[in-house]
Amino acid sequence: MVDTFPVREGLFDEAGGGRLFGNKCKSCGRIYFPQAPFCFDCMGKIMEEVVLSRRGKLYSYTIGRMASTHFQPPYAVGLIDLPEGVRVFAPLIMTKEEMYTIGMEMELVIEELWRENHNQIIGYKFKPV
Amino acid sequence: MREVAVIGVGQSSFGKFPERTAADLGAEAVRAAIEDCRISPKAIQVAYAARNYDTNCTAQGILKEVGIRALEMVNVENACAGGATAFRGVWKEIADGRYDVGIAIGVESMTTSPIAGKLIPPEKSDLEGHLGMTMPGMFAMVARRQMEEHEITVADFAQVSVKNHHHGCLNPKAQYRKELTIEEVLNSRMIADPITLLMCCPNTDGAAATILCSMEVARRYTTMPIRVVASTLLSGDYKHLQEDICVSPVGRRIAKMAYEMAGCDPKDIDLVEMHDAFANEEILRYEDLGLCKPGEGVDLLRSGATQIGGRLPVNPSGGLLSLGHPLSASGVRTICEIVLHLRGQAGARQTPNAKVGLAHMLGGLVAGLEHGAVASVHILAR
Repeated sequence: MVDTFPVREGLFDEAGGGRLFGNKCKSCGRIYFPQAPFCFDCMGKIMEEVVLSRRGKLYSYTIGRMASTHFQPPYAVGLIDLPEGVRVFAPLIMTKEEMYTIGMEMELVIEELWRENHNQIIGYKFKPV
Repeated sequence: MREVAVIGVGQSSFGKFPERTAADLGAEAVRAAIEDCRISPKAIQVAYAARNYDTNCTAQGILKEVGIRALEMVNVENACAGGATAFRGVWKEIADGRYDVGIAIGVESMTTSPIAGKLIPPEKSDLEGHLGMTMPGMFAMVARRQMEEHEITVADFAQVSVKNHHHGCLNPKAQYRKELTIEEVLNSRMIADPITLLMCCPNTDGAAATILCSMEVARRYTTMPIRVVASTLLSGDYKHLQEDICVSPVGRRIAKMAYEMAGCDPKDIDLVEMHDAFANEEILRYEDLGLCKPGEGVDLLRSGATQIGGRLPVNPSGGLLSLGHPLSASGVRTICEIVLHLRGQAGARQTPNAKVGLAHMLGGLVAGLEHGAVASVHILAR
């Protein structure tokens, strides 16, 4: 029996293929992901949760060829710019050709990140549209 | 605030020495600095030491090996800028008039540290680290943007490594003293596309030390005191404000602060020692330091100006890439190299008629902050 845990609470859920939860400052409108405890720009204390767009543009990427803590090479990671003005760092779904281009349209996916003590750790990734 | 001089510099050999302790490496550097100015160990009044991994009381452990004890000692850490932080600490003590003579030491024994041969693992709270962010990975993503925005190629990145390894051949202390070709750099093991092994600084053990004092004391020891005309240290801002990952906001701010403090312009700088942990980074720092216009870093590299023999040598020591990068030592070591050139003592690496030199350090990957969370620039002049 494998238990499933999110890589961190409060970042996402799996509804409708996956949703990322940011928050927005009610004073100045700045949006944060992960959620900020208060607005780092205007120091506003009132924040409201927002569901972020599922699609964004690939700002940059790399393919790791040396093992990181949880991922064996080759693995892809990238920075995705969402329309809300938020830049998300995330693993990318590896395609067979490993072809990514800057500016490519990417879409959110929720799936397993790694296994830990028989538990499945899930998180968000992006894949080319 | 008083003017502060550097009268003694010294460094240990740089390389992989797992059988040596940090205290031993540090003592080698301290002895060299003491011998350099022939000061008595008893004259040292304050000491700052920097180290990242992985113990405490670094200054005490080193200095007891050379007869220095029972004085004010401070141990500091600021990632790759630790050494610069130690130097600045001693500078402040003397500039503010608290002491007249002090020693700044940086040391790292990377081969005996928890990260030996590995990528730095993420803290428990470091979400991005767990999602696959690594230091080479970050600079690989920067490299991709450089290639996209500025028509820079991987051959340009390799050229930085070739240049700095060529300089390393002229440095008896260097970890690697081997000429490289662009092909060799490009064909070396891929770490994170497009960053190859020979575009990354190595794991290095080593130490460096500088002895600083007031100008009045300096005149007793040398006819050639090197003046510290700017000392700066600054931490970075939130990452969400860093729109362009090719620009270091803290790096640009600190350069301006340093030039203002020194009362000089980039064009007055005769040589630079800077943070080239990843070859592609050097091109960006040319721009952050105002050595060329934004977007023209690659032109400066291609012109040959930043080689030994060019009009503005950058990393004539061999840099982090070839001389090596013992993390906390580099911030002191860069200053040692500048001092040698300003004194005319840099041998085959000498910048002709060097009058003003700039030592730059940048470091630290902190989730949520711009990468390169700490920056420091020192400007020295003869």
